Amino acid sequence: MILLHVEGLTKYFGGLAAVKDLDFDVTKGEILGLIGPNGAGKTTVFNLLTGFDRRSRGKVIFKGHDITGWKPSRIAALGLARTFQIVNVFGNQTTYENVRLGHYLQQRNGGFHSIFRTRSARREEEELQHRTIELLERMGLIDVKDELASSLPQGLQRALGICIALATSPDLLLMDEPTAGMSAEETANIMAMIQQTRDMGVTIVLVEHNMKMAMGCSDRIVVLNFGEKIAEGTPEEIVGKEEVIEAYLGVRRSQ
Amino acid sequence: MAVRRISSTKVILTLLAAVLLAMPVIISQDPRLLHTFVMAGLAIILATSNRLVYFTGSVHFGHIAFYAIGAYTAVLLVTKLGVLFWFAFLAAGVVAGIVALAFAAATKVKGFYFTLLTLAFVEVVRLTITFTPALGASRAMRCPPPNPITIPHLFTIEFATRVEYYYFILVLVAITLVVLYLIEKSQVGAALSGIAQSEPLAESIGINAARHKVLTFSICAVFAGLAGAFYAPYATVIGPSNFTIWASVIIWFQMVVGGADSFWGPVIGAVSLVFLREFMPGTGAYENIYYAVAVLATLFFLPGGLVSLPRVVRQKGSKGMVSLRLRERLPKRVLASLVARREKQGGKGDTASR
Repeated sequence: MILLHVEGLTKYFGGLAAVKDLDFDVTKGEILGLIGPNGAGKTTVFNLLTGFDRRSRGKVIFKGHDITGWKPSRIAALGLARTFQIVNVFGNQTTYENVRLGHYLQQRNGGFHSIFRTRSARREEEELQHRTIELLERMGLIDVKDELASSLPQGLQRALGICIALATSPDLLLMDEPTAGMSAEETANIMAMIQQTRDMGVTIVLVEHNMKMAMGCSDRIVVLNFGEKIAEGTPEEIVGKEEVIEAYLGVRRSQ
Repeated sequence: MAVRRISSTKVILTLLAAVLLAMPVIISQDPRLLHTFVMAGLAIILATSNRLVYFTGSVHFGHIAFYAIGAYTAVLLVTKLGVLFWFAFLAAGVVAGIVALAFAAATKVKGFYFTLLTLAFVEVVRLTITFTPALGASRAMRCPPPNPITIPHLFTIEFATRVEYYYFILVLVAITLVVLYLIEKSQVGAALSGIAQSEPLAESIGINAARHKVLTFSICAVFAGLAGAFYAPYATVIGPSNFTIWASVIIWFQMVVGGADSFWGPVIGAVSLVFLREFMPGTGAYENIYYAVAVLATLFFLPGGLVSLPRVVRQKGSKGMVSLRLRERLPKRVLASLVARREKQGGKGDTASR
């Protein structure tokens, strides 16, 4: 089943095409790697899919809805979550509060109920507190639940960022370089988290700079270069392709 | 332990409420002191409601405009249409809220540009009043006192002295603080704080940042409008000169001096600056010098505001506080030369070792 369908997606910054006529599909349950050299347009694709940037042309269909032009919050409410490369957490709040806030979309009561602490709001709060603790336990963040998010080490902040996104209970999670600048141990930790996320039934699109990581995690890979798709297939198919090698290593001079 | 803390807070609040309720008796109706309390109450409403906007990450310098809108709405409804004051009072809050909603929804800018627009909006409102004959232009508008509240066979409250106004503003302050406190401590407050910390991240988890900000702005304006509707009959006359940009800036002074990052900071700041203004010698021009000194001293020695004083004292000891802060603020070069001079004079190494 196709969860996300992208068709002719194009974004111009001034005269420059950051993303050009991009087509790809994401099937429910898979991990799709989106790779490419620096400046290939991977993050721009994410911003277009999640409503943080406006596309110049093209269409994005998620769960049967044409979501092009929607606000980020509305796209999130439909079940498409994302993580960020840099600011990933609410620094002034504790780990627990971060993940509790991540459950924002699960709140069925309006703001009025929450402000005046009506009975239904209190019952709901109890339920969401329970779910927050559960998620923190599953993702191994329970020990730091009362720490200020800004005081956590980088690796844990990244993990918390993923946790916040998961709290929205998404169908599709877009991860923007979750292991950028991390140690081997931290990377292994994040890879385990990615597997666990998938076991929860969440489909994942992973932007990766690190080829090895992308090859290890993904079921299928889309390779971008200068905003255009140059290859698509399983990791085994991708590594052999001439275009991919050229994009990463440059064209041989003798040609 | 949490239970004990809550109960001690409750005790303090109950005592404070009792003292405030008995205040007119305690101060034997000294009109000047009572007036200062009323003005402090008004300042608390304006400063705390302005802070909630700041809590969402927006710097709002136009709160006085909604105060003016509230005041003029009340005066016009009472004097031109003969509406009962209490309806006019509520209508003033509603009108201020609606204008704020329209203003915030129409100005889709953020950050610095939003601040500039709010600042400009104060002037727009003031000049609109100044150039509209129906609003009294630059002349003062008279506002009669609120209609008496009569409970048959029991009592009648007539707004004849400052005491009645004192209790009126006490109730208004209490309602404002309770509502603002509940908002801030609820999940709505958590969402607002999330927006302030990172708008993209908040959006990515489904929080509609624009909608939250616009609604918060509007709710805060309601409180400013109600405060304005109180001020009109209390002052008996209002004119455009009451509603200048400077008045808006003073709200910010109160927030900064008290500590804008805490809920109680603006309350403390509002009360201290109002009392400073009323009880320091000299008036008019001196007032601004006091404000300047208070703000600079706060920024220099106590960046967290007066509300952070107990914490800072506890952490650094009352003696060490000033010198430690100075050390942090002084340029390294100056500090080094100071230390060197001290050592030359035979100062012991332990004090200058850092």
